[in-house]
Amino acid sequence: MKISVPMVLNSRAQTLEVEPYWTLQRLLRDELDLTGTKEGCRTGNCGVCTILVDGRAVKSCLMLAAQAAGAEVTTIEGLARGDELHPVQTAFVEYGAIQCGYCSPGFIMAATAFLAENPRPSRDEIKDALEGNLCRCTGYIKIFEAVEAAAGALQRS
Amino acid sequence: MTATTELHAIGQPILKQDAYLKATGNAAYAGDVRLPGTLEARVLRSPHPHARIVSIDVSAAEALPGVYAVVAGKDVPPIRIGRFIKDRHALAREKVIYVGEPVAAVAAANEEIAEQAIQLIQVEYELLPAVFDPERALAPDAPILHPDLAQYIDPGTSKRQGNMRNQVVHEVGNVEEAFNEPGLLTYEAVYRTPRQYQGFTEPHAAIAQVDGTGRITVWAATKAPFGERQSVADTLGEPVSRIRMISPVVGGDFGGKGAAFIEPIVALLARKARRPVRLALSRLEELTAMTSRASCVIRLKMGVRRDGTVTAMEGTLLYNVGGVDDSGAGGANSAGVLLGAYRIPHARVVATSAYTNSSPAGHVRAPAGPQTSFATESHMDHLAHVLGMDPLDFRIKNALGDGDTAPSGHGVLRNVGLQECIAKARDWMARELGEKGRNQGVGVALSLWALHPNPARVASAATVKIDVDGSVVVTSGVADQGGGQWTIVTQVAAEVLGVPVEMVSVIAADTEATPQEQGTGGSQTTYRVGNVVRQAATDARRKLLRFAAERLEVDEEELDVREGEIFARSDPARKVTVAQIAQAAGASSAGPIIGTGAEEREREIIEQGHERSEVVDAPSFACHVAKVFVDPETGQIDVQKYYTSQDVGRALNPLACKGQIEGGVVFGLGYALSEELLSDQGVNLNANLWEYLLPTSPHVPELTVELVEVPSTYGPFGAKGVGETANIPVAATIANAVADATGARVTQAPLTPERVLAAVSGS
Repeated sequence: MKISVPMVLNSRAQTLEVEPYWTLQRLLRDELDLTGTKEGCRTGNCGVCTILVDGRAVKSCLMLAAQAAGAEVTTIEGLARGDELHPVQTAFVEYGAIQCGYCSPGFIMAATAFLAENPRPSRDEIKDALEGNLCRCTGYIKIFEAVEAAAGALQRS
Repeated sequence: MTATTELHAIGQPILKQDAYLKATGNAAYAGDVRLPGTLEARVLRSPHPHARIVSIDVSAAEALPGVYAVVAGKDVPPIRIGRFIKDRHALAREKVIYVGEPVAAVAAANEEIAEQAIQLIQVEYELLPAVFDPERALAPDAPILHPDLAQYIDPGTSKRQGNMRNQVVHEVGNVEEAFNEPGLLTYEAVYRTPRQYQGFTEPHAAIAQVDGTGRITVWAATKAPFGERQSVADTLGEPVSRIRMISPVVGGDFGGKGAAFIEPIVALLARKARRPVRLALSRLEELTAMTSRASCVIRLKMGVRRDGTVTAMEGTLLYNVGGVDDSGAGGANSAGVLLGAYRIPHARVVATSAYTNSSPAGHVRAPAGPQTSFATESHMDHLAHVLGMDPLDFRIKNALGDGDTAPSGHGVLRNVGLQECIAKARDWMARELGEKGRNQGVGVALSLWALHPNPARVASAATVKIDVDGSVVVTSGVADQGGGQWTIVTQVAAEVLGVPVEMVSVIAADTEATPQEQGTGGSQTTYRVGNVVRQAATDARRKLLRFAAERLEVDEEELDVREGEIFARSDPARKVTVAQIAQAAGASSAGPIIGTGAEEREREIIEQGHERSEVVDAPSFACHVAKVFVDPETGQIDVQKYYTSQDVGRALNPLACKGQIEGGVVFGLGYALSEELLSDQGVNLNANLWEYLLPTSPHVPELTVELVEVPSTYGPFGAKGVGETANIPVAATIANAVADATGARVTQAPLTPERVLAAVSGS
């Protein structure tokens, strides 16, 4: 039996019919084809499915779709404003923080939530904040640099 | 070195072509391909390490509503498949030889039904004795995994019998005599290295679609679509022309995405169901049934004169390759790499791979590199200590140089950049290391990746088409698993043709649309693919200039191209755009401008007066340095500073180059400190991402990467391989730093706190 779940998804208010056992990840990827939210472990350990729920970073494999009732949900597809990238996205592109890119949407969402909370982080604070997201390609260095650059850009904007 | 200032695309930190798509969530990986009516697949896997399959009953699964197809061993032909040795079936036929081996598979309307259907398949097994230790597997009374091993197809020619997958002996000089030299100092030790998981963030995924004529298209997370196509075709009993493999954006590979494990299964299911079928593996499946770096036991003895000259090496390597071997040439075939970066006149190395009922071994970034480096670089460090020599001085005294034979024995080294790497490392050490406090230590190690590029006979080709608006389309079989291969292709074509990088696009890694290609890896992709693209672009440029010369009434040699304009060097006002010429050519009887290029390196080598087997023109050396703090109470290692200088020949894209090296170092830190796939009775114990410990962001040390550029002779614009040199020596660098801090040598990687404490307390 599907249930009705109202939510604001990527700035659009809508009511979605979901199975009670679906995770948000399942809803986004398999039912809504929002495949920018990736799937990597389904156990909350890799972070590639990170999205924003009411502005907080959430691993969408660990949250049921039904739990998002009434919430504002933002996926990587909803972060840019039209063709204008979010400063975190721009920084990831420009600083070479993207190699295979599979972890990138999750990192970008996690970093966006973190910078909203801590606009002027130290390198160590960035390292700690991103611990829940795995990257195997970059060695994380260029990701740290991108987050620092994004913090600067957000300050200026 | 050639003047960098004249180049507009090469040597520039060009942003990756696909980074924008990836940053916005618009890059489609194999698991993101959406086709109407797609079924979800699940695989039933063996719970036993070694068992005969008595019977399989799939009737209950087939009867479940929502199930469209069930396949099992009876649906696959007796022909075996594999990337190197062909030693497996897509689904087990008579018996299973490792836990997690695919036994049957289901395609259903959704994943819940598929899971349920899998549970309904009845398999009767008769358990067989199993063997997990490679040494015991080689004993005469061990249970035999592959009774027909002698009949298997294997591109290698090495010895194999019983559970011995292969054995290679690498011999130079006269070891017995060398060790008998009076006064020679000898040292012997045993080193152990772990199973390491590739750790890509994207698990294997594939989707197969059958068209009305029965032709099958498979989108897969693979870096070797042409090789995998053969395995799919063999499993389906179809000619390769009936199978189309496409490698879309790939979410990391590190060696693990070059062999067809799931692709033949989705293709079988799609053919049977007549619907698209998708399979994405779980991490449990990844870490149980897929490949990892072969563990290795290394027995090493070296002989050194009092003046610090290493004269003799004797070593044995024993690799555990598990039930099926996807590591091929990366394992025992590369016995010579135990010599590392050193000139050792007398050496004998015996490398053996053994089949056991463990999970399969496969390629992992720099196959055989980290295992052998851990032993050799630890050993060299100990010898320097015993001799009272500076560890870098000792290494320099024995290091390979121009004109030396590569350790693998397949040619003479040219363009060696090691001395520059060491010089830069020394400068950094003097500048940045500071005082060494209590429980702090500094370690060094050298790295060499010279197995490839070698003058291998590999198929590689490219075409370059100039469109009517002056844009350029390159077709190449190369897959981009994150290393930026497609970006490099655009840079090379843009440079040769004199058009902006943004004007170049790539059609790649599609077995039907692009030329054949070996597959991304071995740090040879930029070298090889870059060369064929350079040749194709040069061909297109020649045709372009010929047309332009006619139109401008100038000699071809007089013409140059820059920013999409062709002009006479003597009179730059006489010019025409690339677009105009492309249009004119397209309307002429000569037809549109298309350039082609194929691997012509052999011809180039011969023209320059060399024998092909003589030259290793692109050896990639590196020097690594680590400063660590070792907690005497817990044995915990804190890597405080890490440095590497690496010879990349020519950094075609410095941003991508440094990114590769940084990633490589942290990959190596995982191997050094925490990554170890543990197993008991063939069952992998930490088959998940919370117990298999990949490096995370807080563990990344302050890391400095410096590039050295000693150009290769034949690589595109002087490039050498980059990706694998960086992770090879990290474990040894850390072990050497720990020995410096504590006086104790840890001989087993990873260097967990327990192992460090045990070494310190001498137990």
